[in-house]
Amino acid sequence: MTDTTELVKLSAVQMAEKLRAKEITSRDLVSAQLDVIDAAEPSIKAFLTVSGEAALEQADAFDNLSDSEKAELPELAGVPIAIKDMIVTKGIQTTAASRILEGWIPPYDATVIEKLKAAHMPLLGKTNLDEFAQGSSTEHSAYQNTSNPWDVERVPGGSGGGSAAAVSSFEAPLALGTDTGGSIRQPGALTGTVGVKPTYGGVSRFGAIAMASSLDQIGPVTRTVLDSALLQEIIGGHDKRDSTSIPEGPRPMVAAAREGQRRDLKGLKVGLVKELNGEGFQPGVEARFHEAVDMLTAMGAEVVEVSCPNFKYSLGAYYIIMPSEVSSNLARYDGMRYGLRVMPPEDVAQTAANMMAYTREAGFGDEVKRRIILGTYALSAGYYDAWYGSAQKVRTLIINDFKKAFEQADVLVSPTSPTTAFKFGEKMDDPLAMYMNDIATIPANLAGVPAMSIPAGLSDDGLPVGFQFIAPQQRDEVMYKPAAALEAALEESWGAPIWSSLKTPWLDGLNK
Amino acid sequence: MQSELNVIADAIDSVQEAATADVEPTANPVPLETYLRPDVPVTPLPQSEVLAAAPATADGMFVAPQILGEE
Repeated sequence: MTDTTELVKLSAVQMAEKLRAKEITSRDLVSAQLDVIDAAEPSIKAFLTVSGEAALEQADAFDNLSDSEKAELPELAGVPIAIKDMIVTKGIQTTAASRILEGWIPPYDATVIEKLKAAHMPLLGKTNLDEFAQGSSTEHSAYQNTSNPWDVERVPGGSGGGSAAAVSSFEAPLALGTDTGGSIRQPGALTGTVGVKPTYGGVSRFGAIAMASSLDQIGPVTRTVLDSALLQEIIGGHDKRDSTSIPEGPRPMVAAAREGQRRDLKGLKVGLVKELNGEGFQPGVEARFHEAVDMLTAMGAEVVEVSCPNFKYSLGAYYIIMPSEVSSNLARYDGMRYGLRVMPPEDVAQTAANMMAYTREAGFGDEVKRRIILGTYALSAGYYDAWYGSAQKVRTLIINDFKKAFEQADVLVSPTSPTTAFKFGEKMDDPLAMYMNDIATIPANLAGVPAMSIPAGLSDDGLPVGFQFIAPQQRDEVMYKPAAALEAALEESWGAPIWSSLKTPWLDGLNK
Repeated sequence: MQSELNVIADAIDSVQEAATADVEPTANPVPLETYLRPDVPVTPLPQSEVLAAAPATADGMFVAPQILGEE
C-alpha cells in the first residue's frame, strides 16, 4: 500500500494504472482523497459539499466489478473526481454558490455526471465558485472564499476557483469546471493546473446551470494534459437533450496528447497572437510565456505572429452578450418551483411579483444583480440595436479574425491571464479591473473555439503562470499535441512537475 | 452600484465603433442545422420529485402567491 501523500500526488492516469495492476483499490483512492480533503479544507475551502459516503459506495461498486467488466470501461474508471457546484448532481446539494439555491437537491443528473457514473468515477463532492459562475476570483461565492494553494492569502481565480484549488492542493486528481469567459482556464493559470474549454457544443450542457447559454461550456480541470484528454473523451460527444450539442463523437484527443509527449512538433505552425501579450501583461508572465514559445520552436514548431485586430472589442462584446443572457436565464429563479422564496413584510401586498422581488433581493449577490441590471438594460427597446446588436456583430468580426489567423497557423498561443494570483479584496471594488482578468480567454468563448491553459512556470513572485493554446472549432485534438509536448519539455527543464515547488503543509502528518 | 454600472456602460460602448452596417450578427458560434427529434414518448419525473423542492405545494400542485394586487 502506497503512502497517502504519494498516492494523491499521482496523475489520474498513474492512479488508473495502479488500479489495473491491483496495487490499490478505488476505495483506497477515495479514502486517501477524503483524508486530504479533511486535512486541507480548513485552509483551502475548495468544497461546498463533500459527498464522501456516496463516493465510497461508488468506489466499492467499481472494486466489485469483474476484470472483464472493468476492461470495458474508460481508462480513468475508478479514479475519483470533484464537480463544480454549477453542474447538477442527483441527490447531492447543488447551489451555484448562491443563497437562492441553498439546500436544493436536484432530482436529476447532468449528462456529464451520467457519463462519469457510467465510467465508475466516484464523485468526491461539489466545489466552490463565484455565484452563478460570475466572477474571476471566487470571492463572489455566497458561502466562502477559496484560497490559492500557492499562497492562501491570494485568490485561486474564478469562477471555478474551487475545482482548480481542489486539483492543485491534491484534494482531487480531477475536476469538472464550466467556462463562459475563462472560468476553467484562468483559475488553471492561477493555480498551476491544466484547464480546458472544449469546442462550444463538444460537451453537453444539459444539467449545467445556465449562465450565458451561447458561451457556456463544461470542461476538464486536471494536473496533466493527458488526464484532461482522457476526461474530455469521457464527458464529450453528442447529447440529444442539448440542442447546441454537435452531433458527433469526441475528437481523438488522447492519441494527440500521447503523440505530443514524444516532443516532436516538426511541421506545426504556431501563431503568436499579437493583441494578447505585451501591454497590460505582468513582466514575469511575459517572460515565462516567451520562454515557452522558444521551447515550442526548439521542438520543431514554426512560430509566426498573427494579428486579430478586433480582439480589442471582445471584452465590450462579452460584457453585453453575457449579461443579456444572464438576465434571461436567471429569470427562472422566481420562488415558485424550487429554491428560495421570501414573502414581503406584512405591510406590503402579498403578491407573486412582490415575492419575486424580495426573493431576488435576498437570494442574489451584488455581482449577479449588477449583471442582471446591465443585461436587462442592454436588451431594452432603444438600446437593443446599439448594444446587443452591435455586440453580436463584433462576435462575427472576432470569428473572422480567428478564421484568418488559422489560415496562417494550426494553433494559436498567448498567456492565459495577464497577471498571477492577486490578493483577496484587491479587485472587489473595481469591476472593470476584475473583468480584465479574462481579456485573453474571452475571445475563444465568443468564437466557440476550443482553448486550454497549462502551467508555464512561476513568475518572479513565485506564483504560477498559465500558457494558453487555442485551436479551430471541432479540432480540439490540435491543441492537445503541442500542449503535451510543452508540458513534457517544461517538466524536463524543471526536473519535476510544477507542483514539486508547491508547499503543502496540509499533507504533513497524513501518512499514518 | 449606479456609478459602477455607468463605468461599465462606458467601457462596453466601444463595440459600436466596430459594428458597421455591413457586418452580419452571430448568435450561435457553432451554427447547427435545426432539426426535429423523433416524437418518442418518455417518462417524465414523478410528480412527487418535481414538487419535492417547491417552497409551497398543495394537492399535487405548486402554490403561488396571489397574482394581482387586489382580492
